[in-house]
Amino acid sequence: MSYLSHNKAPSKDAVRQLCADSFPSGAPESWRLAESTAGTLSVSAIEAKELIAALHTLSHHILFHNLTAPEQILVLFPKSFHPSLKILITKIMLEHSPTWRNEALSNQISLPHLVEMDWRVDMKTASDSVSRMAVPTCLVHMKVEDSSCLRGSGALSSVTVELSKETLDTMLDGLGRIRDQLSVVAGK
Amino acid sequence: MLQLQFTKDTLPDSVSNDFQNLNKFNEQQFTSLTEILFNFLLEPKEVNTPMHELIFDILTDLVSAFMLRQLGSLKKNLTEDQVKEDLLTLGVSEDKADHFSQQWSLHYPVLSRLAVGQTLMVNQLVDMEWKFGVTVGTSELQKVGNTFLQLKLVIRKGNSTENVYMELTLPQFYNFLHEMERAKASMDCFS
Repeated sequence: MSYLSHNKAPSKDAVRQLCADSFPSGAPESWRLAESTAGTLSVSAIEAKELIAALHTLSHHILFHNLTAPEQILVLFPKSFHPSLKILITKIMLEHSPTWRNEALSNQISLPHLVEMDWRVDMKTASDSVSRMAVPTCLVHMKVEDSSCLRGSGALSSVTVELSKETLDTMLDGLGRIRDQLSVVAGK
Repeated sequence: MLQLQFTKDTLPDSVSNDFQNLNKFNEQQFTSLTEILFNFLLEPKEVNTPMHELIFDILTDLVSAFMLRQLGSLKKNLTEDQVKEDLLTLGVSEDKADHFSQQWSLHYPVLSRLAVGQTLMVNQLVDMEWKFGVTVGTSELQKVGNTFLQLKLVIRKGNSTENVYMELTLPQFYNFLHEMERAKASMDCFS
């Protein structure tokens, strides 16, 4: 990893902002970010782009290996790097790590997530083949978010399912078994 | 116009003729006939018994008349006596009507359960498959230890089935389980 030692960094806040801005996955390719950074730091756009890429690589490396101690991060910098700047960047990275970690976890690939679920129990009283009956039935409505779209703006698709009493009993059997297995795993 | 319990519609003449033809069977034949018919109603399958060709033709007519009969009776939840009364009105002899109505009340619970079971269900849940596991790592995080649960629901839509896949976190799973238990408690109140 190579870094530009930017002695011209205007303020701590600017550095903090830069670290935050360079984290998202699109940051190294963004010319807009490069240009605004170039303006803030009074460097060329190309230099700004390299700086962003370096910070991006650094933050993702820290996140991937789950580095939590400052010493682990300080060793990543080249020997000739400005010491107080090194410490500042390390501090900022550690501050952001928990948020970044949660963000990475919630954005990871998965099947569509269950967002909402409601149910209702109806009583069937008649049909075209039986004129009188009293049969309970359960309707379950689930909203799932398609994770292939951006989280938060994902397309919500909805599915309604009807269950008879036997089906519900069988389902609860299965769910109970899952719960038992989960408690066995948790107990280990 | 015949006044019947099991339907307000007028029956075509052929049907009442068919019922009267029943009288031509002797007791043994009639007993096996009713047996076959009830078996057919209880388990709709190919009827595969050794039959003489002639008898088979008559029986086809009778079977369809009987089917009409059975469905009609279920509709109005008729008692054994009412069934017998109807058969007598249609011209079936006393002892045959008796035997048939007895068989009817014997098989009635199962037949009504079958009819209820065939009642319309919208998006019926046919099967549920699940797996749960632990995420070990991702491209962003080398070491992760999150438990996830994946569900596959097989839903009947018309004649075909559709698979719905979803993933739940552990808290969502426990909530789902809790809600389903509440639904079951609610259903149990009614039965």
